[in-house]
Amino acid sequence: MAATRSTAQAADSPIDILLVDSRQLVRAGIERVLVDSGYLTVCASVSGFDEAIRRARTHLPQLVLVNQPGAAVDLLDGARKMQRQFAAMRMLVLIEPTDLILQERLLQTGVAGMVDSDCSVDELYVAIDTVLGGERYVSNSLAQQLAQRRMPGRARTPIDSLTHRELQILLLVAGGRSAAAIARELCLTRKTVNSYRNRLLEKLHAGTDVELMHLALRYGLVRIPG
Amino acid sequence: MEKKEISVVLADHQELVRCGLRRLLDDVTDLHVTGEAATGEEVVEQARKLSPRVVLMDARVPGIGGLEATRRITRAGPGPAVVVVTRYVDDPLQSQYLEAGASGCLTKHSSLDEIVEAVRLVARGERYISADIARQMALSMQPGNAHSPFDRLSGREAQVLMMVAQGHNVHDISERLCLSAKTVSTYRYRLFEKLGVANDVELTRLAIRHGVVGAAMDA
Repeated sequence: MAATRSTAQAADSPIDILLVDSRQLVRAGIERVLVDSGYLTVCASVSGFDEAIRRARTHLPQLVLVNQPGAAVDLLDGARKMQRQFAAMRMLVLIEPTDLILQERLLQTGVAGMVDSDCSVDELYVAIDTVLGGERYVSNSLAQQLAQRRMPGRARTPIDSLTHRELQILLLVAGGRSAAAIARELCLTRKTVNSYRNRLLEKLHAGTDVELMHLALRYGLVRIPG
Repeated sequence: MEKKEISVVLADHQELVRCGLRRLLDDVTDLHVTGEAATGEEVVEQARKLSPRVVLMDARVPGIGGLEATRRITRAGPGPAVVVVTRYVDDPLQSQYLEAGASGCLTKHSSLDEIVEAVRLVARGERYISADIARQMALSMQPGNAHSPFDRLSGREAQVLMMVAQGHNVHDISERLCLSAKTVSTYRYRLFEKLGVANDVELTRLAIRHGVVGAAMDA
């Protein structure tokens, strides 16, 4: 399988990739595509970021390729945590074109690249080569939309005004977590969680948690399976 | 008797996944992937054109979706056997895929070996339901649980459910339904209990999953 690899990379040393996706079958498929390039190897294939971080410590992969690690909140938090702990590691995220808000937030966390999840095999190889060459990569289809959101006169969504912490809590509330569970998960007091929640209700002009969830749904921040 | 190859058509919206799975399945001696599809419409078309023995279908293919595609492929009578791959064990449509004519149900958490096994079985005319899905389906068949947990709600409970799911608070609901706030709360807790959820958001998510309420309110 001939890959469109850049000449910058020497042929003899394979590139180690850590693959993150919550579904075994999907991981198997993507792993096969990577290995078939002839110069990429998958040093670990894991279902979520907690395991990814553990494995990254021992394997020190050059690249983390993330497809679907579960809910949006897992992706955002996981990406942030990983970038902080492994500054030299490049991260490439496959993402749905409709997840605009997530894409913006991911770029802010410093991911090296984002690829349309419907990309071709060749585009994936190009993206991998680009970020390993030290540059950033964003699929054309994603870049178009992101750029349009930056145009003057485009209405910003109320979600844009949220801090990372607020967004994190919005996503957890929208996922059905109770205040107590959120407090535990984020190591905050319940009181702090509730004050974040109240600020969210205010910023988003919502009256109840259910309204927050509908908002998150509308902006594509959570999905309801089935 | 000469061993015949089992022809397979693959449907998944992600090209990377299709491509990888195709290569993995082609490496299995008795399997041969003859076609791929990215949408529900495409897989129906491919099934008609290529007449594969088995269609391996992601339940969430865009367009008409996995359920309708399964129905159209199997409707014509003895044709391809359809194996539906869902994202979650508790996909509420699980039993509907089977009713629509699917011969097999698996999740994306299945291993490749299990997929291969399922493809071989349905190619022989048998059925395959992965153990985790079977367990889930069995559990949902408890008495009084025939179709959806929402069937067991009383009229008032259903009314309160709809209002909670639209984002109304208890005070609001009690005013509109002319009930005391306490009574509304009692209905809410009874709903939580009957449906096995812990709070309003979980309640709403469950209702959306089962199509009891719409996914988005008006902006």
